[in-house]
Amino acid sequence: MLASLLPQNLTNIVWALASLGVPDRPLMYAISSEFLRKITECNGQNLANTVWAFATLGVLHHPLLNAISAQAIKSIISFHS
Amino acid sequence: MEAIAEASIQHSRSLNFTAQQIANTAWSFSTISVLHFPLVAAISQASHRMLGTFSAQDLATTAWSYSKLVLKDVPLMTSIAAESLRKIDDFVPQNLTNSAWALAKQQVCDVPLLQSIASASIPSISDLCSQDIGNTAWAFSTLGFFHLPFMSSISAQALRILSAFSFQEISNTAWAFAKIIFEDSPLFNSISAASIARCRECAPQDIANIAWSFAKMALLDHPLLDALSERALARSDAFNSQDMGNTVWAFASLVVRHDPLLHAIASASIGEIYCATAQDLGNSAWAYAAL
Repeated sequence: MLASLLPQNLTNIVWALASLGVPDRPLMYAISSEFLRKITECNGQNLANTVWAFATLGVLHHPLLNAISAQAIKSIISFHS
Repeated sequence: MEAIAEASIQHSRSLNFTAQQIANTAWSFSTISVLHFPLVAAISQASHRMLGTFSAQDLATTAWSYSKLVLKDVPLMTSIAAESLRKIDDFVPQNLTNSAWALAKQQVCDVPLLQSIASASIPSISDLCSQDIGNTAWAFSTLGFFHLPFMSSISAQALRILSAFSFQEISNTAWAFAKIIFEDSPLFNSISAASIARCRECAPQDIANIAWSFAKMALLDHPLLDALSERALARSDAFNSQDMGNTVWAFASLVVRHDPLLHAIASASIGEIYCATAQDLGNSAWAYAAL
């Protein structure tokens, strides 16, 4: 099911969970794995809102953070260099 | 060909970060205390170039995030400070306190910005919560920046909501006002009363800070010192060398001799002696000699 979702859809789900203050870890980790698979398709908004959601709920998933960090660096540099 | 070029520019834009996304990414990583140096460097570089597009909230969030991660980036902080000054009218109270706190953490004493923060905060001082009060007072004192109307407003608001303060916020506030030797009997009297009433919540650092503050203000308050001393005795094993140095310095400078406290601190000091700085040792030695 999650495999058919776009990065924007995944982001919207975690954003909603964080906005409601619902740290549903199994769902968060499943979304995290799917997000990792699609990380190169993510735009700045997907990256920023996803990391915001995980941080707000205090759900720490290092592979996700590493991937978001690496992809964010690429996006930030590609635009400004 | 033009259509392809246009589409790829659109695509590259959509991949990129807006100011708000940059600030929120910085906030997220610092909130979970994860430090990725290359990301931090990229954010700093992008922020420098895009500061003109940062809103008041983005400026305060970015400054706060770098400071929370204990990352010293003075060039970035200086640029953020200059941009913040231009947009100070858009700052809400929380942006103001976060900016002041960040400046203090980065040790960037930007006087024009501090003056603007102070002036902008006064009309909305009653919106500040206990954490804002403690942090702002701490920030201004740490930077050694004195602004009488602002500190008077902070003191008034602290008095209004003192019952909502955590013990750490009480001790930070006492420390901040004592550091700049701000004579304010109603505030110090209330801090004393609250400290005595809530002594059981007091951590070693709070005992040391409150004792130090009253000594610095030369306020000889026996009921407070008795309460602090009793609490310090119960927690003497948890004192670090700086807390011990400050506590004995405070009692000695008020010429108050509590033998059980002095003995307890002396025994605890022996175990901590290798961690003590020259200043801690000097304070303690002076205190024991003076008493």
